[in-house]
Amino acid sequence: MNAFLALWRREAFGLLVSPFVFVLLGVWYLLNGMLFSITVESQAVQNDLSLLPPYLLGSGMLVWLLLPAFPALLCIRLFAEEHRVGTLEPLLTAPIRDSAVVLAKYLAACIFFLIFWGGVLLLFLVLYWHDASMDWARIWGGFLGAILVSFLFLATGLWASSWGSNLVLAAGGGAALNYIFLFVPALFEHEEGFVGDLARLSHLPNFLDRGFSAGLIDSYALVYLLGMSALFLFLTWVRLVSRRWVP
Amino acid sequence: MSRRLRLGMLTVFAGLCAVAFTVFLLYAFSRPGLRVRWDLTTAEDQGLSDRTTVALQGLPEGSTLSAFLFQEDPELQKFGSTLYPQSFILLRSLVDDAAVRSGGTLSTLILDEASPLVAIEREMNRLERQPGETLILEVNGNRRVLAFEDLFQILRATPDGQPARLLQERVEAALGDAAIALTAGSIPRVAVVVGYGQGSMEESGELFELGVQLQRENWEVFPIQGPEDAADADLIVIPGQRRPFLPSDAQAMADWILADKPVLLALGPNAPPDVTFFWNDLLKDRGTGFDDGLVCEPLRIQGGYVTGRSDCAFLEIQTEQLSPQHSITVPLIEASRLLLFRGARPLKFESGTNDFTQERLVRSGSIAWIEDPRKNLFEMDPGEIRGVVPLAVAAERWAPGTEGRHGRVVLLGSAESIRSDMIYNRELLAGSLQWLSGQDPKERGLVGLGELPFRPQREVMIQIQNIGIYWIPGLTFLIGFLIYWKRKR
Repeated sequence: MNAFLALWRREAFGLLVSPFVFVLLGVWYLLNGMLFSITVESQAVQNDLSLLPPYLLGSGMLVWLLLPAFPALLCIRLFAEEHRVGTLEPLLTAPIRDSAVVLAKYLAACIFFLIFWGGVLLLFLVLYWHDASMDWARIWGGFLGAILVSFLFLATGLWASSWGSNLVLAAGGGAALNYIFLFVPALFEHEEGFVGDLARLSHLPNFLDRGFSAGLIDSYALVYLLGMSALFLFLTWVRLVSRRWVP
Repeated sequence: MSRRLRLGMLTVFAGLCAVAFTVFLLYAFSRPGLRVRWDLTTAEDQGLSDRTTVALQGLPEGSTLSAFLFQEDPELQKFGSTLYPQSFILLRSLVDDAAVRSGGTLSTLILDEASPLVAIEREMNRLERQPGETLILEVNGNRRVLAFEDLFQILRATPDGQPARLLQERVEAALGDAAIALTAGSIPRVAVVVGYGQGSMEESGELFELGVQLQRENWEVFPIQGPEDAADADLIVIPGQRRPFLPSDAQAMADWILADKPVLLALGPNAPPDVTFFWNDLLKDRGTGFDDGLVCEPLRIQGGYVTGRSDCAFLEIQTEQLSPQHSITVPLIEASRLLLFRGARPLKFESGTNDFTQERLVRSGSIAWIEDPRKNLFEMDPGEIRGVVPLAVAAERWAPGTEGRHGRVVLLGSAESIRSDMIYNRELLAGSLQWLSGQDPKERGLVGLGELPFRPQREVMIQIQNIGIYWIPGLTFLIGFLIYWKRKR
């Protein structure tokens, strides 16, 4: 446990003192600030602010464009960079379980990604401080959904990062996988039969748009997001273990 | 087999096992029986009530709920109205909730402007959807159609630039009502009299459109030669009458009316005097009946009015000519629907006995006159009665009478209004049928909808933008630069 905590602290600190991560964070805040301003300026939202959470955290550009890319970019330094600079092998031979390595890195990334969402929440608070009446149920629901989706995307990013030392492939692979998660179900959503059912059951924007950001929490959406995150963490662990046999 | 290959295969196998386990887990948790939904909203208005849940769970397997979320009315989008987005968010949540809470009996489909055109076309054709129809619940081939106006009470845009607004919604209650109606065991039966010159309900017949519409309103339609055959029916519709009833049918009709059973009766000017005499005698207690003549109105053209043309008997009914108090016509006013009454006779609207109440549903314009066939055709001649005349009347008992029935009747002065001009009068017919069957659709289950307007001053908006676009990202970049500078040193 101590080794796990020490590794987690090392990873979290590593993220906190990385200029690249702060550039990433700055770009995220900038793009979200622009999206937020555009959305708040729209007449529909000014007529009814309860539309802001579904527009921003449900079906907007944030979900379709930004969210799949940033977790993957954050993850490249977790395994791919360690592999590139040659610190992964000592880590894997240290007296700490491989599963603890995966979990420590993942949890550090998750905690750090909360800072990403904290900045977006700050924008809502700024609005609130300017005497806007907020629909907090939808806001909290929307944030919960967005955070869980970003945790899933971090898990896929971690898995992509575990495959080698090429940073571009790690980032690109993770982001591509995340975009597949978003777009493929959307393409087959209206099909009939098994394919359509499968697409509807794995349609992430629908979870966010019709569920979380409407203030409705669906147990299936929770199980899907947590279960898929656990699957990719397991696959990352399998990949790490297998490096000893299949480099 | 080398050790490395064996371990490699073991790795792949472990990965596949994990994928299979996750798929199984997700499949298990996607079963409606294992799904739970929590509503975080304070009003808890984003989910279904227990009543609707029970009704949906009672639906047979294979029932479908299709939602058509299209912004079809441009009036409702003017001046940045949030009416459609607001209502669609609620509808999406409730339709999804219906799928989960139904326990697997109901499959749902949401079609909107982002859906593939092929899917939209397929569903629209299959369900014969008309504009404005938003939810269609289909159970064993029977359908219940819920139009946007059935689900939401709205305030239309005003000329001074106020956008249309949602006032109240009853989506949840309407869905529950529809499910209950479709699972009630017996679908209400409507007998359409066709044996007295009304025409045929076959595909090419004069009454085909009426039959289709009645079925769309979830009535089981069966044509009868005369009222004597209507014993099993819940409602009789008489779409015009060219000949007087035979004695047995006349007696059956009189018995029906005396038993306070509902009737929708549409008689135009072509109905012979002995027919109108029969009905006037039968309905005199209700204070209504049929007068003689043809209601005409001068045609509005640029710069004035013209008469002398047969078009004068085409009465365009504006919303101000509808009763603002009756549950049949209130939804039409809210939706700004125009009606068309072609070839209409005036109705009587007078005091009957104290047991009944009457409401003038539709009236003519103030410039109307009643055409006297002995004078110039379609000309407003001296001696002809002018002014407002009733064109549709609803009457019912003050208090339930025989076997708790209300004795409701709806009289239309134009048979063509429900024969040829259904496209204009569809909602009038639907409202009349609902009222006759004892439902007052707009009264129950309405839930208020609040808005959270935010119209900040320009300076406030700039302040918010500055924080979001400059301060927060700028500070983050600065911290990043300081870390870089510190690490470089």
